[in-house]
Amino acid sequence: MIELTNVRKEYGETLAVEDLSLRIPTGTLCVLIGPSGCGKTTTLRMINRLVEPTSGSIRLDGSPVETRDVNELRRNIGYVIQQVGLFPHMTVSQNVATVPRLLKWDKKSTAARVNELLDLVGLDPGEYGEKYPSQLSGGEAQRIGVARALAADPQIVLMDEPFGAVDPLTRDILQSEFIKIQRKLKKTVVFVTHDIDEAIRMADTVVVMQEGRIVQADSPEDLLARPATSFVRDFVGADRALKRLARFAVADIMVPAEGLGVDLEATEIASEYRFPWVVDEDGRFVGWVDTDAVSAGTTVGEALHRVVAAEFCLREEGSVKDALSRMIHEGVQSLPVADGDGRLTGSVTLAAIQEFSTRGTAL
Amino acid sequence: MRFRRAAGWIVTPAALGLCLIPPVATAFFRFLFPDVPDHLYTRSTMVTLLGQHLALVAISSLPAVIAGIGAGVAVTRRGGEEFLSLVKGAAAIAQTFPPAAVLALAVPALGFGTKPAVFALFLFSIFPVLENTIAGIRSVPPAVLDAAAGMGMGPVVRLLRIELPLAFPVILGGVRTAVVINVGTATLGAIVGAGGLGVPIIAGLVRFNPAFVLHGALVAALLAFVLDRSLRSLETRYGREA
Repeated sequence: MIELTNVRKEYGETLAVEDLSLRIPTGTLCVLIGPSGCGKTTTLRMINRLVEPTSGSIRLDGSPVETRDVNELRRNIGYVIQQVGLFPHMTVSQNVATVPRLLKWDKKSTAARVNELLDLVGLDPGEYGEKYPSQLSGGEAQRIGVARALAADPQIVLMDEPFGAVDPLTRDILQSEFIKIQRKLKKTVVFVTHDIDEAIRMADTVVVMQEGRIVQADSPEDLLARPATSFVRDFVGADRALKRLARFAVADIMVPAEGLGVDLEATEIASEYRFPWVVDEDGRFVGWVDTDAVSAGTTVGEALHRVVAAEFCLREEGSVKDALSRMIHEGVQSLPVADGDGRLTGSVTLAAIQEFSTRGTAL
Repeated sequence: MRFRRAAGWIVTPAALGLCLIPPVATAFFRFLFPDVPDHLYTRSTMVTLLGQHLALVAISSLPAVIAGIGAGVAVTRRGGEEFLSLVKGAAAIAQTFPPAAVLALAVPALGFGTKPAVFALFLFSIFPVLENTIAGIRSVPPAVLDAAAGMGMGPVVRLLRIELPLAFPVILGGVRTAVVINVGTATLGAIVGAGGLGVPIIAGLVRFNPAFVLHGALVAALLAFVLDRSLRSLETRYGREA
């Protein structure tokens, strides 16, 4: 748990951070976001004492940071910055081993830990361990930056625009990989960015800052549903409804659905829809029929419009935003949801998405 | 290119070696200056003079390197920046002062012999080392230092593990400049009786013997070449790793 209480930082006449109070529960990822000069980086740097606050207190699990030896404190807090700051005269392995070395771990456990971390960030230790930073791409360098920060297994990790300097495609990959790592390791992460999409994607809590103060601290869903001020509303953007839908999974709004069997006689079709879905004997989605076009004496199977389930069906873990996008693209009012084996598990309707979006809560 | 580099490694030291062999040197200068009565300075051997010269350079350069790096490190620390222009100014003045004048001023205080020569050479070597130490440390990217501090490296660890290793090739460049300049300047030491390769030069000057002058100058120049090349190869070897 990171607790900032009435923290204030002045640089001469200028006020960088003004009486800021914030609690970041253990194991959650808190994003500090705001325009340049809003005090987000200053706030982050006060946690590991790279900046000393003018007044107020910062506690980590109850113990005030100013009572701890500054280097000992920092060795127990991971630190990742935008420019990465790898040591150019050291190999990748030596870079990752920085904090274990400072903590005087023995060589064997350090080497084992380095390999473990390179694996964690998706780089082959054999291939990358002996490379120098100048031989790495921007994305690779930042993976090493993350590995180096996690080397001594700190409970807290500070990240200052870690993915800000890489191209959008690499950024997207790094973000999803870090989300996976975070799900596994459950660190307490303070993450500074000015990219609202990144904030919404990564955060458990988004803290929007303006001129040294917190304007709103909320879950991404609530922030998007109820921006506290016009500043936040502008900051999250006009497409906040869509961004919000991106935070929810199809599973959150789907309802159970049944499909017609392929052997069913056309005359026995009793569906409230014109285009009911069809499943095979194992419950796998196979396509749909047009009830206006079937003639007596045929089976559903014979009138079937066959589609590839994996392409046509939504997945439960897919985002509601993507579901909506599919509906608009296909021009349909509802879409089937299937599991990994292609079995029909439910449906999502356009009406349900609209209602969900207006009400602002999950069903 | 490779041929030229190999030739440099062989030709210059070989020429230096030949200059030290009395019969070879005599033959060479007899060919150049057939009219001169003596072709070889005989009061001391060229090897002895070279040894004295190297000693002068080494004894003056080593403390200068330590002082230059020390001052360069000090003025790049937090709180040391105020002294930056002062220290740089003082070193620059020491550098621009004519070496002969420094020698002349040092003799009353230190007497004749090696002392005033070493003192003058020391003053002349500080500036390039200091200048390059400052430049080298300044060239360390701020993000690297921020990351180092953020991971819990204290100022001393940061200096020893990050700043100095990264600045090393640049500092070495300063040391090389200092040493090469020193090899030339040390010939002036003969004026105050410090010995070295300046001795035959001055003897030649007094006795109108161009062979003596050229012999001393040639050995000093070749020595400067060899030292320059050795230090340069050290720089590139280290620079490539970094």
